Amino acid sequence: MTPRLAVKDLSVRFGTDEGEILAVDRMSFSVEPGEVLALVGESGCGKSVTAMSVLRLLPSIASVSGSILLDDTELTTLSTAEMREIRGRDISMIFQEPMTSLNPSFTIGFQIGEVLRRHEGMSRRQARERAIELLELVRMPAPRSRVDEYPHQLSGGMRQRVMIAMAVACSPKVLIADEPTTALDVTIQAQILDILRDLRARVGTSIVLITHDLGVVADIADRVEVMYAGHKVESGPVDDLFANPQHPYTVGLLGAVPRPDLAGGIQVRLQEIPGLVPVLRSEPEACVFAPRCVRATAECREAMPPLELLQPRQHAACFHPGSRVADYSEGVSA
Amino acid sequence: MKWYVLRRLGISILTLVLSTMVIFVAVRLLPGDTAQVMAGESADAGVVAAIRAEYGLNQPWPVQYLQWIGHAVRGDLGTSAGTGLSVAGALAARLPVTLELAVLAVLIAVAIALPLGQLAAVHRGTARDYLPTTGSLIGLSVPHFWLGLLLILTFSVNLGWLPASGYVPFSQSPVGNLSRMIMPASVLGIGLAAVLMRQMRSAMIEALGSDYIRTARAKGLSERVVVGVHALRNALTTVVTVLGLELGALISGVVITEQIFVIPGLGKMTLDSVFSRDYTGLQGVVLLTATAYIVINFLVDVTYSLLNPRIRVGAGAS
Repeated sequence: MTPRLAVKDLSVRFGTDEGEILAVDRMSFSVEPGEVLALVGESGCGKSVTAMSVLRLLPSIASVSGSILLDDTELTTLSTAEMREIRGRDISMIFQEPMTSLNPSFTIGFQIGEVLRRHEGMSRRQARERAIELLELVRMPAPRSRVDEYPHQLSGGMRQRVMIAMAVACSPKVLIADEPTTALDVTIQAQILDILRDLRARVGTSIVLITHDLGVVADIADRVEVMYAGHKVESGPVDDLFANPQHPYTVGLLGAVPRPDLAGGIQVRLQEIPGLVPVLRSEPEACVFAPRCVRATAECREAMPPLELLQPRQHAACFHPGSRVADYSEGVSA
Repeated sequence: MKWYVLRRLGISILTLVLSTMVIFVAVRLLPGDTAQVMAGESADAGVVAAIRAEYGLNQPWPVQYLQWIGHAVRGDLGTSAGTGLSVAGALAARLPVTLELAVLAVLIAVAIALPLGQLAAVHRGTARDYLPTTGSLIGLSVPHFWLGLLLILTFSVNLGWLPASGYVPFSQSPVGNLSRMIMPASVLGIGLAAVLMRQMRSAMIEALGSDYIRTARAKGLSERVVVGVHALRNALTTVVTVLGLELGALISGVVITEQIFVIPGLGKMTLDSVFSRDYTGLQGVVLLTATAYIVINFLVDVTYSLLNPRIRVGAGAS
């Protein structure tokens, strides 16, 4: 099957006053039709930058290289006007902050309808009727009266439903969801994930889910790409990767999640990964994770390990792969 | 919405009542004696006393105040000590002149400030930002009287295109009216445009940096819609407030400009009344100015609530 969205060797650099920052370095991934791919990592790993560069929504200080294919269309070389046709119709996006991502001055009906008038050529009346249907689809209570309300009258969960309604209005091929549940409480999170699952089944939309929440990943994703400091460090099907993580960063991330099902009543201390994600200025000459890694050796400090196929469907960029739990209590080399 | 408007209306009326008291006292704190001015420098003490009695000036202030208010609510603002004419009549003749001047000034200011402020915000940090920003600094720094004289020198004295001063009612000769109003309105409008342009620029920059602008772009909307609809609507709420406050200030700020261009509006009347110690005239004109200010602020609040649904819809509940 040809992938719906194929990103190859994507690099993003930001020119800042303090010099250049390499936010994403030669990142590649692809999503099949109807597949849910999770991009996972801590804050500052380059997940959101990757997503924004697919839609070409990064500010002008960013320079992007690499290839982004949507079916057979190369997005990086499209004109601005052609790109606008893609945005909101073929690829749409849900953002992390439902509280601020909607315009406070317009009704939600107007804001959902705007996408339909833009891409489907609907009249105001048609767009309003379709907006009500879309609000029903995302399980908004009382959609017929809510359609004329303003964002400040809605709760965070309802606003995120509006964002989703807006994003799926034109049945997009790809939906990029950037931390769609982070700002919401747990019961609402589960409902939002249900809606996304439902859409995938109904419309066949491919979903790129950006999150740091491994619970969400386990719940909905088919495949996972783990990112660290702008690099892909591990990838694989969600079950394999959770059962048998290879990269010490993935092992560390999984160790930081409470797993009452595995503890069997025994109290297991959660593991944290000490340190912070580094900011890269140029292509690394050592493993980006080495400063925080208990397995790091001299080899790791001399070259960035390449991605290698370690398990049948699982890649990792590590010289010392394996799923054994890293013990951080014995001190880190950093 | 209804409660919001009613509440604002109540506050406006209260403000108006308080301001009548301030006006009444402030006018009486001016040095000089109206009765003496009316009677003339060398008048007999008996004549001065008679005038004082006739105009009620010998009564205690609270009594005078209540008499003034009592007449004012019936539209009678008394007789001018300087001209001997009805103050209300004089105001009725002068108010349209000043209003026309203010409205023209606002139109000029809006026409300059909104497009330039938007341009500067969209092209922040480039020449298209620096030029209007520097221009507004000049506009802010130049005193009205100097700009007025400069315009008269250029367009009346040197080029001879426009009459230097005077006033012709619009109904009598639209061209004559506008040719005389364009320079004073520009003087006031340019100063106002400088303030508005900066407000517009910063409000637009703030709006353009918002998450909802990113959402609008992600929908595939054109930059024209992103800037001209999504950002503009939010920026306007700020700008309308400033515009209203400035319009109020404009009504009372026309004194110098009207003096330079010899325009018989409220500003000129204020100055003339002060010089002739015309209490009734001065009270009347200041009361009208204050009322205009309060009414404008009320209208601004209502407009603001129309532009900003968080105020309009939330007011009943919060």
